[in-house]
Amino acid sequence: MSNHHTTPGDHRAKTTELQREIDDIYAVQLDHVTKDFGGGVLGLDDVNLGFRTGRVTVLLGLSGSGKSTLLRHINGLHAPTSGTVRVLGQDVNSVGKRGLRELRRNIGVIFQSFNLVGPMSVLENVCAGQLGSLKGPRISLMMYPKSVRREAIEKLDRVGLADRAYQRADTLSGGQQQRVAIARALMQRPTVLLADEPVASLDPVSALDVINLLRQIAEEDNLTVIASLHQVQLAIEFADRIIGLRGGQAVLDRSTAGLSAEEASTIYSSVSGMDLAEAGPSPAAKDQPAAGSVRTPLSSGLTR
Amino acid sequence: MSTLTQASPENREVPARPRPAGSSIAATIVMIALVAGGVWSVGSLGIDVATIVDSFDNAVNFFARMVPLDFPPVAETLSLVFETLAIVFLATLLSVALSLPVALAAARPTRWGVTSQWVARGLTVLARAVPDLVLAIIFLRMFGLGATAGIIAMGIHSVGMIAKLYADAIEELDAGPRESVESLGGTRAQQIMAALPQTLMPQLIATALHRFDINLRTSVLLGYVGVGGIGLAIADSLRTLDYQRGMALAVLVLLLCIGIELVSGTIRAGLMRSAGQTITGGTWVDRLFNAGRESGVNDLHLTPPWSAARFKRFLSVALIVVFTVAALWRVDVSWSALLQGILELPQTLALFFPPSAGGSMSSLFEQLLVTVQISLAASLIGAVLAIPIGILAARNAVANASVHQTFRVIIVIVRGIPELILAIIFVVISGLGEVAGTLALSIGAIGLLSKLIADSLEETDTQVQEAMRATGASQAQVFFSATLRQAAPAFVAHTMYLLDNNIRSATLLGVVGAGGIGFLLLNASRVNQFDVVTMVLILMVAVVLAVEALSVWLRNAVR
Repeated sequence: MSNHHTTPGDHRAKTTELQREIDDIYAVQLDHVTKDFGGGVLGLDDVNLGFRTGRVTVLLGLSGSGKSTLLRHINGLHAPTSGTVRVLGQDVNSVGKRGLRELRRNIGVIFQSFNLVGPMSVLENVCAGQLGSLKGPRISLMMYPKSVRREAIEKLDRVGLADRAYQRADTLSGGQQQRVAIARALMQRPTVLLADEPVASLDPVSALDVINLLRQIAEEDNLTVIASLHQVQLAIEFADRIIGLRGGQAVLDRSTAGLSAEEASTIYSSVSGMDLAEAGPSPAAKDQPAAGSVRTPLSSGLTR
Repeated sequence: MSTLTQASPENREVPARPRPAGSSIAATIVMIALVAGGVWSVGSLGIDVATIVDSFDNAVNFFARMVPLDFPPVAETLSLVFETLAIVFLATLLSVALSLPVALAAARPTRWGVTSQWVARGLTVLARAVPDLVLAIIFLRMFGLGATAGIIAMGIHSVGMIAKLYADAIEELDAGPRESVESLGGTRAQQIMAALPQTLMPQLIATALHRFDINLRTSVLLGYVGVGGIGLAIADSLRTLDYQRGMALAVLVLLLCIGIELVSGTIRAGLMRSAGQTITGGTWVDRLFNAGRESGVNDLHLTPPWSAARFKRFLSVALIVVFTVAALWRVDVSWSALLQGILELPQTLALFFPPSAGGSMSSLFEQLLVTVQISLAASLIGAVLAIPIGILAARNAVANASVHQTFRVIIVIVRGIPELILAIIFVVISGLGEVAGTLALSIGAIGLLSKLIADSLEETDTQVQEAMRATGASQAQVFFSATLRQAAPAFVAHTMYLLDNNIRSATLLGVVGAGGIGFLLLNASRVNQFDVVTMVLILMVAVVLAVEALSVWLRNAVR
């Protein structure tokens, strides 16, 4: 693999200056990260990865391969059993409770199930994105400063939903709700954006909408994006780099630049651990188009 | 493939029936024991056809003495109703205020820590187990006669139910929105306040309204120990044997209960509807108040438009404030007495300790046994009465619409009658004692158990019934093989819930003279033997917790 990204290397041997340089290059670094959920279940198995600042990376893998676990380590929702996670130059697990909250302000997260508060208005949901920088709890829209409300409207405008500001969030369609969730993440003015299966609950057309929006925002704001996805085609369109996970290990790591359709078709088998030729036409295998005959529902939109 | 298909029919072995699991054997034994206990209780309480025929004469006699009903003048009636409603409103409001922090501490996603979670859960169980009547006796001693003691007693006791339901609601909630606030660096308080209140609001209000209904019934009982309102007026009338006035007031309570239940039912149904509401806006309210307002980035208001939903929210809050002020004004809470009572808490508590049997521990145990007998007998009689009524009221058990509708109406009416009123009537009809309590609780069971049974029959999977009908089974065959079989575990669970409920009620109905340990409780408080009150309380709580534990275990075992 020509474009294999080297891992940050052995932590102990590094001088602080070298570390600082590495921090500048890599917004997110995982160094020998292992997560043992107990009972012999390894969520992550000695993962070494560096995510370059300003790049879009997609994690591919089956359910249970460790995609979500990896993402949750980056913003400290999980702590590794061993190894270190560095984000924006800080060790996620040694910054303390307050430090972690400050770090999380810089990390936007998009969830598969949107995680909006359904009965709350769209605008208030977006305003909630600022909570990390505000003191104290808020129980109504009017408790947010006017400047925050103004900014929230602007972010909503950016995702194309400003006219829905005062509607209940649960009255929107799935694709619209995910765009509201993106606007909420933008309220943090993040430098890193994590997306855990952001389109898995959406129909193909809305999925493409959301992916295009994320790509556009990533470019405009120069965000470091790490997203987990199921669809290989979508991943190739969206990402600069694809990492395949299986059983908590990174089994594939390559750039999407100059990736041929032929090579793309091998990605799924290497990620799923299944040889397509031997496995025969399983439903999963059918999703993987052979070279030259791209027929996924998304392909028409993707190849435009 | 399998050996069964290859073997010839004659040497095919029928697999031996697996031995039933230990827990299901134990459950069967316990159920048989409970039924036997019920039969024994019915016998030993002297409830038989002769007693019931005897009391029929008394009933005729009684009805002759209660008519014509003597309603108090309108102004006095309204004043009594207003006072009762004010007490119940403030008590429910107080319990909601107390329940919120307890529920947050008791629910797994919002708890402070494991210790606080267990403390909070312990508090809810304790609050549920200590009857509001006993709390009222304590608080009447502390704060003097009047509404204050009743409000605080019901307010604290209700925490047992409200905090538990609130904590359950928090735990059932989708963790996603709260986690998203955690991910963006929000503090714990921010996570809770941003994600919980709006989502839970309909459930919080519905639970509070439900408790309001229950507290309204309890408030009548508390009248017997000196808390104001209609209950006190009933107790006074009956003490002077003024049945015409007493029964008129009882009818008033009945009407009030039904009226309030209708109102709260309507509000609850409305809340549930609005919880799943689609797009808001577009009503005449929106058009009237937001004319000419631009939407989107050009909207310079940055405030929510005055939609119908926002008006409703605003009005609800305003109404609660108005009610609170009006209720506080009506019951005239004496803040100095409150402060005085709290300052004298150590002295008051000293009166209640150490617990004492008041001379005869054996008579306490005797009456405790009577209470257990009342609840066992009432549950058995109640189940025998309620199961057929429940089946007849189920839409899918009785094809004839007019039959099941009639029985539904009967259930609704019986549910509306507070058990206390039934107990008062039966005390007059069949004399002071345990027969009155048993009959009152048995009738009350029709309201509680038949509804649960009808509901659980109607909730059974209709596809199973269709499959059986498709094989050509008759109506009766379908009912016994499919419908009843599916609902059977629910029957057991509901009957255990009835027993659980009856043991609590049986301890309290003694206060009006319906037998059991409640009567000793009232006597002890009248003659200021507060150490005996404590002893009775300990025995009651022990029995209530034991029955509850048994009921929880059995409900899980038959599931």
